[in-house]
Amino acid sequence: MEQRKYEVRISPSDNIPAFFMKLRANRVTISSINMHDGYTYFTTDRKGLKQARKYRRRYQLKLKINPLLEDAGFARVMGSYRFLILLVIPFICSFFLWSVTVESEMPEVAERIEKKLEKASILPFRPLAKIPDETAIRQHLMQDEPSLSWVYFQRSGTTLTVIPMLSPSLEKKVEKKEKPSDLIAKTGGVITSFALTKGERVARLFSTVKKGELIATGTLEQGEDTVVVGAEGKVFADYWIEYQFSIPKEIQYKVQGDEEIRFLFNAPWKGKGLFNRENWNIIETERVVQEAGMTITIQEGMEESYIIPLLKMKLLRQVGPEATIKEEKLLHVSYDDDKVKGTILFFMNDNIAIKRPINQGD
Amino acid sequence: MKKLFTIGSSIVMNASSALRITGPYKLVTLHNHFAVIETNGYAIEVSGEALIVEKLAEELAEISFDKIKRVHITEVTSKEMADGTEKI
Repeated sequence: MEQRKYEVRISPSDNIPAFFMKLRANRVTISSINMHDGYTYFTTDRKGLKQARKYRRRYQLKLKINPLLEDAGFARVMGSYRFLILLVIPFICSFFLWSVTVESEMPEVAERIEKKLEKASILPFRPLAKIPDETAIRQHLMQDEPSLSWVYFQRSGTTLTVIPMLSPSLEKKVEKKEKPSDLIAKTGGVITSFALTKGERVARLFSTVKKGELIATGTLEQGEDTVVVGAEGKVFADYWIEYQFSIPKEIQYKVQGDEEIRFLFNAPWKGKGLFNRENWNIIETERVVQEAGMTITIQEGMEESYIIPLLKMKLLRQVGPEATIKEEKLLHVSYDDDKVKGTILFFMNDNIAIKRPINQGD
Repeated sequence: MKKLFTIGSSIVMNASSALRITGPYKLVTLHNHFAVIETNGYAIEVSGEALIVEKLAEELAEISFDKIKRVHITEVTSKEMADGTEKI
């Protein structure tokens, strides 16, 4: 460490050379000795100053001491204790793990891996020397995790990134060994479109079919040869359906009310925020939509506005996503004390094909 | 350790303006324009303009001048070295 320097002035005396020799014998470094106006000046450090004061009486010398103002330059900064501490702190910090991140597209996989890492004590602020080998961590993570095919590790300085690789999903279609079947109509209607994956059309487009009629065959004829492959697919048709309903007169429902925005202070060092940097937002916003409960009583005159839309929704939920309602006709409706009853006709378009096994004469 | 690094005594004059003495020495006299140093059995008297003793360490002395005018080296007996006075 660079020591502070002092300039010492000695009054004229014949003992000066002997005084210097004494200081030299005590391993004091003396520099820049010069003489002006009878006085002798020299520069020394704190140790030299101490020795000079000690021996001045012996050599009967008068000393005057002036501290030298040093240039606070680069060399001084580099030599100071503070600079050394500034260098030492990041050096010591580099021996610890500062960040562990798991990169995965599937959040549930990431969460499972994070929990496993926590159990294995691979956490931030742990000494790097105590972190186990990559192979050992990989083995631990892939244990009991059949969805993982490999785990990559990226260690950059004091950051550890874990990248799990998922096994490719095998799309195994469990093919049931079904008997080959023909397709017949589950209800009568007018065929609007065919979506067959196997088999041959029997009915024609825009033709009317009856319930149980053959619409696609699984038996293919090629010249004199006959091959039974089975028919599969969908056949869409328009048809009328009679729907009898009985719904309560009073209907309760919820309506979206005001949206409330709450600002919360989130201390990132608490809880599970250590792994996921996204949770390090100090202020979190929470949006809550208020819901208001409402009740409506169905009365006469509400057929178009309430009853029919309600029935449509109910029916669509039952038949499936491919069905569409083209038209509706309310045949009759009656209002009791607590129920509304009636019959409605819906003109629908839906898949009417159902399978009928082919009799192969076994 | 000291023996390991012993480099012996030497008197070196640099560019006619500085004198470096390495090895055991004794500063006998010091004035504005001249200095007398004893080393290795010799007394070295050096004079010049604007004397500055750059360094006085345990076995190193560096004296510089604006210009050295005279360097005089004489052999000194052991008795002379002890008290610094000339004896016949």
